[in-house]
Amino acid sequence: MSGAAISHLSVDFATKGGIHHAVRDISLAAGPGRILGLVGESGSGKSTVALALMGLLAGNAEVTSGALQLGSESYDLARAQATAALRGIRMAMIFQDPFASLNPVFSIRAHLTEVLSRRSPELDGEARNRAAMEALAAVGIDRPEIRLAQYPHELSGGMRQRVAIAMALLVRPDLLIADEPTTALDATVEAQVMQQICGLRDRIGCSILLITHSLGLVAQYCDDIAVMYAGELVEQGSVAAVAAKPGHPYARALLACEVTIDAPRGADARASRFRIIPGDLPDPLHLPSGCIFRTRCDMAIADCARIVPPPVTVNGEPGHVARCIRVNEK
Amino acid sequence: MPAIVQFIVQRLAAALLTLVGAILLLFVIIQFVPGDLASILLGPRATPELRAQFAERMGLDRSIPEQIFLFFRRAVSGDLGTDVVTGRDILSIILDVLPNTLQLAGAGLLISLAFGIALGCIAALKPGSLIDTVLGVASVAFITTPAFVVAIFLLLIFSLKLHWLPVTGAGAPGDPLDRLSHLILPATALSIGWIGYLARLVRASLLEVLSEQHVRMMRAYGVPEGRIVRHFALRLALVPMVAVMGIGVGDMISNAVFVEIIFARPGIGTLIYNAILNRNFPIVQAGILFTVLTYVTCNLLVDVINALLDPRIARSLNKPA
Repeated sequence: MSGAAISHLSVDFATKGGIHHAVRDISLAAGPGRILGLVGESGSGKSTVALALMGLLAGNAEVTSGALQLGSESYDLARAQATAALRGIRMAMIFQDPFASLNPVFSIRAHLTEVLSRRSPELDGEARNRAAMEALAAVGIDRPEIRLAQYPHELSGGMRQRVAIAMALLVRPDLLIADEPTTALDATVEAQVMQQICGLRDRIGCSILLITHSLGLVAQYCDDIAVMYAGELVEQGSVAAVAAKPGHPYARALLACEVTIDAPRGADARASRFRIIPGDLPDPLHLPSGCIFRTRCDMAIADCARIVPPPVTVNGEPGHVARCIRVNEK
Repeated sequence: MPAIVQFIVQRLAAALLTLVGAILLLFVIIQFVPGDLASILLGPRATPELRAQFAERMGLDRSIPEQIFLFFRRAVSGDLGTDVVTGRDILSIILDVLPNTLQLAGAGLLISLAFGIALGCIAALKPGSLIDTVLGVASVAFITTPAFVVAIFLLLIFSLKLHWLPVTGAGAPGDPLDRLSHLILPATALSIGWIGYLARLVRASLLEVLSEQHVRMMRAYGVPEGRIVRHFALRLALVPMVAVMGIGVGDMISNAVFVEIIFARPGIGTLIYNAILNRNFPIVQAGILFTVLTYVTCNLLVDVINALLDPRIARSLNKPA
């Protein structure tokens, strides 16, 4: 297994105002056993990337180009149902809101065994039941035999998200997509859920695409990071390299927005907290020429309106690229 | 106590209250009907002695609370009195015709559910398509046409003009095929409106469920679309429909009165109707008692089915407020 790679993914949405190019020419790679954090603001297109990979986009969306390389096979994402055969076999997904992602009128057992009936049809009912119980135990749910018979409303949010992780665990996928898996949860539960996701990675050695808007989460759990802005990738590289020297002004601004939790007590809170990036995402139907970030960028020069910035290696660090024409200045 | 048992006990208590309430209401209404019961039933030329004797026999000389109490005490032991007109036991009169009405309402219910759910699913799977639009228009037409109008037209077309199906009656008692052929038209008349209503309801509810995240979750795990709709989404989508069917059963029974009259079918509906025309109130009371009993039983059944379909329902109702 050699991980998962996405190349040249573009997605269009047909809207009343016209064609909206929501995702434009995105290429990403997550090695086996590695977690790639895909970050960006709401509306930057990160969830669209995930749904395009799974083939679960809404009816008005069209993948105009893109390929998924999974192990030695390649799948043309522009074809209808390109990855349908992989779902629940080589790919699995954990969704954002655990309160909505389990069917309220089916037991936990029904959810887990449904996954198994596709993934491991050779198992009989008894074996499925045992596997479901083991999966619940593996994600840290105690008394799994009781939990199996319960319904989603009888479980807490964190526990429901662990059930979702157990479903993914039963699939043993090559690629797991986790779309903001902790956004709906408390900070304390967030850590537990992330640890279970890391535990799953350790157990089955899959690649994980973690979609989030929390840089803290990326810094703590991810190996690599990719930053999206308004449907384009602006920077990617190892977490260490990007955190140490972000190349793109947007990535730098994002990092500056993070609240420093280790700031000394009594320090002026206003100095470090609530830094914001002025302005809004550009209108998707009227994107600026040249660099898409230039309208909000504090470093923009006249050339930024004329040149579409190509990926540039930052600091000579292999794999760390940013799409800004002023990256290696100064 | 398991949640579902506790739930059923609560529902039974509520059902009993409904029953008592309906009978009380009936007694009050009867008090407002003009004329003295004895003179209506015995005719204008009855002697005062005869009238007094009749009033005593019927318990009319007692106070209303006493009459109500006596009615319930007798009813509990299965004694609904004797019919003044025929001299027959009222309970046996009711039990003679009750199966006809239950079969009619039951068949109407089955037809409504079968067609309503099927058409609702077809519309929901292709929202905005031609078939969805056609079904939408047809549903509204079905809902807005009263059952007795449908009954008259069905009768005119299929019985009188085409001679496909029998015109009146409930069929020979020992002949299931004959009874079935007598059931088709009245049951259809009864169910048309509910087919339209259920089709709309199931469509809306299924569309909503299909847009929920757990459906996308199932898709993400490669569960075939047909199984997602039939197994996972439909069960959730049927919860509001089953709840509405509690009212549906009541509506079927009250519409059965018209339909039974139009098709001259013996049943609780025709029995009550004729008894009202004759001011034969003991029969009316007994008929209403059984109608309410049927309605209350069906509602109880509906609640239990819903609690079984959706585990959240039994739980939420058992929580102390």
